[in-house]
This record gives sequence, structure tokens and C-alpha cells, in this order.
Amino acid sequence: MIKVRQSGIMNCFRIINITDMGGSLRSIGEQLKKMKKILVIIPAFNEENGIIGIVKEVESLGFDYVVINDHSKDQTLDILKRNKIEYLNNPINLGIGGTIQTGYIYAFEKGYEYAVQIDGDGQHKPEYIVEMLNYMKESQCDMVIGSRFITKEGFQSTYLRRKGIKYLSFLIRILTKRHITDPTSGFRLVNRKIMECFMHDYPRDYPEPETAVAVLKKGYKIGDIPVVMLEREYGKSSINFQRSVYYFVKVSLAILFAAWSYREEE
Amino acid sequence: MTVHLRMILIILTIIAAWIFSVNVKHKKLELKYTLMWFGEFVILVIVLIFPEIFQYCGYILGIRTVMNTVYFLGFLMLFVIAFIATVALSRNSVRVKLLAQKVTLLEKEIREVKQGKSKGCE
Repeated sequence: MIKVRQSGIMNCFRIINITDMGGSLRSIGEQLKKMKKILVIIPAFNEENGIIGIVKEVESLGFDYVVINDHSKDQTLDILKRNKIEYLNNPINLGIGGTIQTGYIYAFEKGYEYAVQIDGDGQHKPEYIVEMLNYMKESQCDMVIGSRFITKEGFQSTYLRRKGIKYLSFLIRILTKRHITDPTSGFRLVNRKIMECFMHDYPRDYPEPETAVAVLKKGYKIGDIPVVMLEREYGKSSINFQRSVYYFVKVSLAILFAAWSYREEE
Repeated sequence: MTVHLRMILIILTIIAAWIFSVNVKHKKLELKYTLMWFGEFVILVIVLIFPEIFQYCGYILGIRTVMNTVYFLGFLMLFVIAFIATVALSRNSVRVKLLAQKVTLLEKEIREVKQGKSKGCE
């Protein structure tokens, strides 16, 4: 196997076996077809500086995408319109949960087989999507999370947040007996089954850890692959110091309720 | 319970009922959600006019004075009203979210129809 790095649409086939060109061309064709079955959901709230960059990156990889403007107060909507970017526009601010859920409803209704959510602030690199998809197929997972903490490369977040994430991981392990290395990661690939679940039920704020528990408790499988995340290039984190207490209490309770609400299916 | 205190509480209850009525009249409050408040006001006024009704009730609950029974019942009724209001608020919040999401999706569809395209993965 020889690693071939190419620009543009070929970027997604980072590993091509060049000893079988005919086969690889066929597989590229198949991959292209497969890619059309993936929708990249990019939520955007006040991301006027970074949104174009991330969209161009996703476009260059050849994925279908949709940006969901969550009633931004800055020029995000204008930028989306001006640059002819595929977008959905929330009439009111729905928060990250409501926004992502809209994306899953859209993906499901449009018939996409997979949906992947990535942040609109440049933290997640879209080039990992193909790896996530391959891993999903290999391991028969229903959801794949891009995790910062497997190889511990790239931006590792602040000390306190890392401790918080460890605590959430621990809580999820106690309740579901499964280990999720990065339960707060918003870089996730899901299949249609999970899309359907999320269409009907998705929390409004800080949804990631809670939905992971709900998915596990419903009997679906979650896998994670190592990704390198960057420090956010633009905008600021939705979790500031004042909100961290609310976050801690809300997410802990939400995880407990999610574990209680859904009985594990054998 | 002194007549003096009872009179003050009755007047306060009537003022509260009047404030609610004015708001319903001006359509600031929905009658549906105000009914339970009116129910509480009526019960309070009855108890304040005939406190002996609740003397037995207080005896069962181990409350010595009628006044404390009134406060206790008032607290219970407020708890029920707050609970019902929280349920209504949560339900409405979900409904607003659903409506907003529908609007979001329809708006894109209308935009696409106007531009003469409708994209999906097929």
C-alpha cells in the first residue's frame, strides 16, 4: 500500500493501492457514489470569519453539505447567500441541539445514508470523514466519534475541560459499561438508524454526551477513531466559566436520565 | 385567626383576582391558564370567610392554627399551578422548536423551487 496524497476531490482517497489501477479506479467510482450518500452538517452561529474556509474544504473533498445558520447576529447569513453556499436558515435561535437536529431531519428526508456533523469554527478537519466511514463499515458501528484523546495529538483542550471530559467518560462507563474516549466531541458520523432516532429526540443544549448514552442504551454501537483537532480558529466556545457549573449539573443529570429512559435492547 | 388579618387577606386576594381579570380582558393572559388561579382565589376566599371548615383539616395535618393551614394549602396550590405551568412551558418549547425546524426546511425547499432545483442524494 502506498499513500497517495492528491488535491481536490482525490483527497478523500488518501490510501490507494496502486498495484491494481483498474480496481482502484472502480473503487474510486464506488467511493464517489458512496460519498454522495453522505451529508456533512455544519452548524453555524456567528461564524462569519470561518465558515467559508470550512465549506470550501468540505466542497473540495466532494461531499454534499449543508450549513445551518442558527439565527446568527453577524454577517453569516449574508456570506452564505453571497457565496451560493447550500444553507438552511433557522428563523429563531434554536441552540446547537435544535440546529443539529434540523440537519439530521434534512439528511434523513433527502435520503442520505450517512450524516456527519462537524463544527463550523474550524476545529474539525473534514479529511477524516472517509476514515470515519471506513471504520464504521469495518466495525459495524452505528455511530463513529472523532476523538482527540486516543492518540492525544493536536489541541487537547484546557486542563479543567479535560478533567470534565474524563469525568463524563467515567459516568458513561458506569452507566453503559462502554468506554467512550471523547464524549463531548461534536465530530460524529451516524447512519440512517441513528439519524431516525435523532430526528425524534435530540436534546437542546450540550447534546453530545447525552446522545451518546441514549444511542448506547438503545442497543446501537459507537466506535471512535483518533482525530487531530485544531484550536478553534474563529468565534468563542459556547461554554464559558459561568456556564460551566450549569453544564456540569445539566449534562450529568441528562446522562442519568438518558440511561434511565432507554432500556438496553439485547 | 383575627378578623383583621382575614379582611386584609380577602382584600389582597380580590386585588390579585382583579389583576388577573384585567390581563385576561386585554388578552395578555389566556383564560385557559388563568382558570387554576381563579380556582385558588375562590378556595382562599371561602377559607378566609369560613375558617372553621379547615380547622379539622389542620387538626389531621397536625397544624395548630388555621392561619398555618391556609398558608400550607396556599403553598400546595401554588406548587400545583407551578408544576402545570412548567409542563405547559416545556411542551410549548418543544412545539416552538418543531415549528422553527419545519420553517427552516420549508424555506430551503421554497428557495430551491424558486431557483428551479431540488437536490437530494438520489
